[in-house]
Amino acid sequence: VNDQDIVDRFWARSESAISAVSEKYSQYLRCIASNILGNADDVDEVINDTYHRLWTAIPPNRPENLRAFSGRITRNLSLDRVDTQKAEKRGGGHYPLILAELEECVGDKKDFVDDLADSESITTALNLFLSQLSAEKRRVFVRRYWRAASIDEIAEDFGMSVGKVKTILFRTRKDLRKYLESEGIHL
Amino acid sequence: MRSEKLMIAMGAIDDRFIIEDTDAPMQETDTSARKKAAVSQSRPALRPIWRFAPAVAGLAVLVTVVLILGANAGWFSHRVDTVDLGDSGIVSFYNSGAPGAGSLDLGVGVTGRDLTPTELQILFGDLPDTSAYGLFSADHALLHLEGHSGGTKIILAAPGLPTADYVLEGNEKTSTIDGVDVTAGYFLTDPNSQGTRNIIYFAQFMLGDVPAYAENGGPEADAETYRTDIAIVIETLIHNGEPQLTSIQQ
Repeated sequence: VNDQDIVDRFWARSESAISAVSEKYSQYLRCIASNILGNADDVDEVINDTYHRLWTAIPPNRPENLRAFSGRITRNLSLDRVDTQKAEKRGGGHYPLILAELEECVGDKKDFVDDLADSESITTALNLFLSQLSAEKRRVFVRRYWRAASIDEIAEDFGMSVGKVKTILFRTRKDLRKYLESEGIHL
Repeated sequence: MRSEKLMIAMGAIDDRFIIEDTDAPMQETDTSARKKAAVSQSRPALRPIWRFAPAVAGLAVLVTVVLILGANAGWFSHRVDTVDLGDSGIVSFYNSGAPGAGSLDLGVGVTGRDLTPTELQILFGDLPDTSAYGLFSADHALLHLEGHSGGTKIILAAPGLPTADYVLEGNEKTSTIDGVDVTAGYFLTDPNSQGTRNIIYFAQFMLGDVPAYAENGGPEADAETYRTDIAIVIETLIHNGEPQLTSIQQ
């Protein structure tokens, strides 16, 4: 079943849309949720919430890429759940480690409280930054910080050594920090 | 936390980057695929194996001679591990005997304390996950510090003083990273009761007038991780330039 057929089913309010999404993308969505949450029960709930969110979001939306659209919902729901977990002092997959890595990108400009960038302008800068990277670096970076994949998983999927993945991520984080600073974006 | 803000913003990046990531893993380049196809197409049909016997025998004799000569010349006694730092250069770690232990005797009365985050930033710049313990002279000057960035140990000493937990000896060689000579090596410990050996990478270099030493290691199976981590630390310290030890007082 292709994506547009599934989207059409959502628009037709056919429940077969859910089973089609589940059949086609559940593994991908589980992977994202599991990387961030690390807890099977939470993952199940997030996946179910993703289907529900898709049901309410399509229509009015008509996503051109259902995989990215669904993945984004799963990611956001997983991050929301991590916030809840933090409040309840529960763990969460690779997420704490990933956040610690991203601290390297945000600089030390804690005093610029009046100049804090909004999320939209940060995303715009991220899009420009990513578009300037080589495909290899970009895919490794996105796999780590969008999909929250482990270093080992990235190394295996891309046929690289763990050391090379770590080196690419380290350098790209440094470059991102410089780029954000050069764009006057303070987090 | 600000990194969470970045993580959330990352969630809204263009679909094209997400689609690119979810495509098949890294593909062969067109060039390499074409080369393989060409080789495959031009490969002759297999012949009876006996036709190759003279060539195989000749090759075996040649390899044996080379091995004997090489062993006598000491070609195979030391493995060289390298980390390619791109434009910065390549760090080469040569097998060494265990570094000879030396005692750190600064010859003066010293006091010590943990360095503050601000001081760590001054000394280590962008290096992540840093900590350090400094030794200070009676007149409050920072003489020596031993710190960490992640799993990499870093030792810095005031100009003219030794870093001196270890003395490099053996077959270490010098690489050049961004114009700075880095003398690096590694050694392997004896197997423990589980048969596991540890590998220790170490390097000595100068940051301006400040002697620096770095070390990282653990189970041999993870050698590449330790090698990469220490190389990144070395590169970052060199990029940071000479650390301002004099700006830190007891």
